[in-house]
Amino acid sequence: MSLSYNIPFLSILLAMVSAILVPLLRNGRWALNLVRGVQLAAAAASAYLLAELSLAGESFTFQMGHFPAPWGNMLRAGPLEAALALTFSLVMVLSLTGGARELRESLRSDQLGWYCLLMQLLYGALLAMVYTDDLFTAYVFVEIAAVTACIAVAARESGRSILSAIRYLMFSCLGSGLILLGISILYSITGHLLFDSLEGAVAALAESRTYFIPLVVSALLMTLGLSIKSAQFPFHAWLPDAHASTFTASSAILSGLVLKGYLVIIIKLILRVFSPALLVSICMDDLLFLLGLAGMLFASVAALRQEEVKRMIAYSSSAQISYIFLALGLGSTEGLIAACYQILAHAMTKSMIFLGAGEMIRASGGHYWGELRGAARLAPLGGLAFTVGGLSLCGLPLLAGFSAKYCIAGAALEAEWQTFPALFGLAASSVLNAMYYIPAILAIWGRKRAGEEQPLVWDWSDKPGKGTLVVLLAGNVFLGTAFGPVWELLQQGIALF
Amino acid sequence: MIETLLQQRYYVAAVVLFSIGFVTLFLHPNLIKKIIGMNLMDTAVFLFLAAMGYVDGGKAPMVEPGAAAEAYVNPVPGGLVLTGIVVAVSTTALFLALTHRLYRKYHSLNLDVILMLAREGGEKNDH
Amino acid sequence: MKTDPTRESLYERFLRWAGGEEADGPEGPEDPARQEFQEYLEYMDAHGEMDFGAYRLMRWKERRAKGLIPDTAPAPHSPDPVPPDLTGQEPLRHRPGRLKKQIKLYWVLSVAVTLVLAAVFLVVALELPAFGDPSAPALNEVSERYLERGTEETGAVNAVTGMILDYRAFDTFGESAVLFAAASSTILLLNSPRRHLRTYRGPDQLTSLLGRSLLPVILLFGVYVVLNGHLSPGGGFSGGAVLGAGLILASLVLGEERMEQLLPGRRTTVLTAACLLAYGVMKGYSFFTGGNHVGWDVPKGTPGELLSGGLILPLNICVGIIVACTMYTFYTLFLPGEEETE
Repeated sequence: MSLSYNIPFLSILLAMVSAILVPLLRNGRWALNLVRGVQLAAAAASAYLLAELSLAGESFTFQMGHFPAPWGNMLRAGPLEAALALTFSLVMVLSLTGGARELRESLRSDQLGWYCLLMQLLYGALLAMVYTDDLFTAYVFVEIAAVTACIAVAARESGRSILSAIRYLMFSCLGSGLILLGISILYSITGHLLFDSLEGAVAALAESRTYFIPLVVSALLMTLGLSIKSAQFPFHAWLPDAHASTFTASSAILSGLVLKGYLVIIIKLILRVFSPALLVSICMDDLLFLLGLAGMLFASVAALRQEEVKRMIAYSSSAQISYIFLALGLGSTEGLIAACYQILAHAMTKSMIFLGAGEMIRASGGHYWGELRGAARLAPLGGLAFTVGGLSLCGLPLLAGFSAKYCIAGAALEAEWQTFPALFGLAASSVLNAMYYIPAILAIWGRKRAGEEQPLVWDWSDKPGKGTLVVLLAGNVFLGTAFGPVWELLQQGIALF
Repeated sequence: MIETLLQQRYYVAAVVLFSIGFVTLFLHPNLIKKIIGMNLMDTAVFLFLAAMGYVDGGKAPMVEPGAAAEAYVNPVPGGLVLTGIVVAVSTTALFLALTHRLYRKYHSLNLDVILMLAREGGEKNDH
Repeated sequence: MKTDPTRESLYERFLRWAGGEEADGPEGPEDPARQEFQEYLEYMDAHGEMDFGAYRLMRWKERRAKGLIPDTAPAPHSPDPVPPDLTGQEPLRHRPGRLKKQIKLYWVLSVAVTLVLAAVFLVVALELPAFGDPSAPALNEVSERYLERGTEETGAVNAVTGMILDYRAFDTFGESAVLFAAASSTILLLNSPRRHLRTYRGPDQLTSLLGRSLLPVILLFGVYVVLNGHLSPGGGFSGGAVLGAGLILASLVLGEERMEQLLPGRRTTVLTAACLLAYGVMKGYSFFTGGNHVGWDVPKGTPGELLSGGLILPLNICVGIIVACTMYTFYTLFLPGEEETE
């Protein structure tokens, strides 16, 4: 067995252990460097794993301990998992770097240490959610993500952020309660917790129609719980406040990554536990599709009415999550590929928009559109990141968002009755996206007062932060232009999932 | 029907407990009561899990050498409940910590009052 | 900031108004807050907005202060402006009744959702394998192997301990990490640099008298449960909870100041982190050797003896310390500190 098969296990262990090491360090700044160093190392290892698995065209399971399935815990990795881990690691390290200046300025040294610790635990949990092959392990790490993500909101310590953190935690706990209930029901009728064994047991139950109601209810409960946690449309009430009231780094991580972690588990449930055919037979795909369609439109309309830049971006996140639900609801392999494409594209784009907005807020000192007029001239790179991200979400060709939408549209053409509503939803939501992003972009590049001369101000004080934006811009353009290779990689990944 | 209900009495009790917790979570504006509601819901899930592992006539799984598996209850739900309890304790502590912070700031535990005061305090101070 | 009675009562008055009280109540229609409430009602009626509540009222006031809401006429984008004669004719008497309905609607909806959920769960409960059924699907080859070969494969007599610390040890690692995350978050939220300036409460006389004799027994019992986790019911989590309770009792018996000297916050944190680290390293070793099929197993010992079960005993000790320290940390952080206001 090649040594590279240990990469998934080692990157999870390294993330957790480095998080645990933080309280033993005395200085918060070292903690930040330690955490980012581990993330970079994990990113490099995942890139290597991705190259190797994709060239060999294989996936593997890694036994955690001395006992084989179905008795012990397992990890599983293929090209898709490696690609997700690579993207998650990169976005994590970029978000922490981009928001580092704000964190250093607003947190005491010891608080910065605790914050880094929790973000590193969150990162470890996300990696474990990507790689796990066991339903209960997934639940445990979902809980770590819930606790740490809530603190990412509350760390800012303003009344508003604590209030939104408590609402976030409430929804989160409700969601995980439903997930645990779903898992228990599924366990009581199958006796298994590993995805592989569950797949066989569920198929046998579906075949013989025994315990059919509990089976359907458990699928519903888990989907419901995960949609609450990923802020899918009717359950998105907690999202705008939570994502808007906290640090830029936290917003970027929450919007870009945490929501995606739960979606990865939904994809695992669809592909590995309840086979797509069974879900189609109980109309689960239609449910996901309709939720996604409604969310795309409603969240975009809500975003139109926001007066505050971060709240608008947060609503736009909810809309973009709905694209993923819509793609999953198509019930086809192409739909799954499109969903994965959207996960990658949105992770890159949304963190870039948040970091860009953070730069502009910092430069202009205001959160409302009125105060942000001309802000891009004060922070040109931040303005550029916001502009490119916004245009990407509106669907400008050669950017990540366009490729993802193209992918979803391509998958929708193959569908049955969903084709027309899906295309209509995509078009309408793109128009809505343009309706709030284009005026915003025009406003930030405009002049503070009409007729006033306002030259661009280049401020090079925070070089790592600026570098982050450049890397994210490059990543966005890469995902937009290298459409073919990425699509083939994802197709291979889904086939080997 | 009645016979099945009696047979599944632990599950039925779990359902009742879950509903009480759920309603409390939604209808009480008081944060502490919301936390209690949440804990009730968790407890219902634990009751369900624990009941699920029971086998008629089974003993606690302290295995004597050479005994057959049928003599003991299922050990897996026990482990799952343990995990669930730890998770519930953690989220409860976090919940209480957040509530404590809100109380220090707004001197109230009523979520509606806090929302109102937060609005009144204005968003400007918060940024 | 202290409790402001006028604010508190504004909320209560709001509820009273929303509950359908007429405009000529105790305050009379001239009361400015009451007038504002009426304007808010008018605005809501004109726009057919559904969300109503104290919080919305504040939001509306704020928006109006910013000039985002025109004072009189409905906003230009409103789809169908209310004909003026309708609002002019009827002096706002019936509206509170309608709003009362909206508040009731929330209650009714919540109860309805709960009832639907309960009904679904009840159906599921009736459909599930019967309680205590020895042929239930959950009793399959998985639980059978845990029971029949667990002692031989893990060295633990207690099958639950064998399962959580050996077969499925990765879950348990995550579980300890959840606890650690919660402890860290609580510290991040509640610890402040001025915390050591607070006044310590001395030992309580009565508790001290009773606790002094109980304390050693409790601590000893906790240690016993932790150490015998692989032999008898219990283990790191339950024993750690007992130990944590013992530490809390110790704080009451010895007084907070003495306890702060014996077990300062920094020390519990380092202890927790070190134990979790030891857990990670031990299990990391076992995962690595197991996953790569290297061998190098830890000797299991004779099942039934105290020193047996391979890594299970040290793991139980680590978990016990983590749980005890975390419980104690929660307790100290929630102690009434100096009267801090923000």
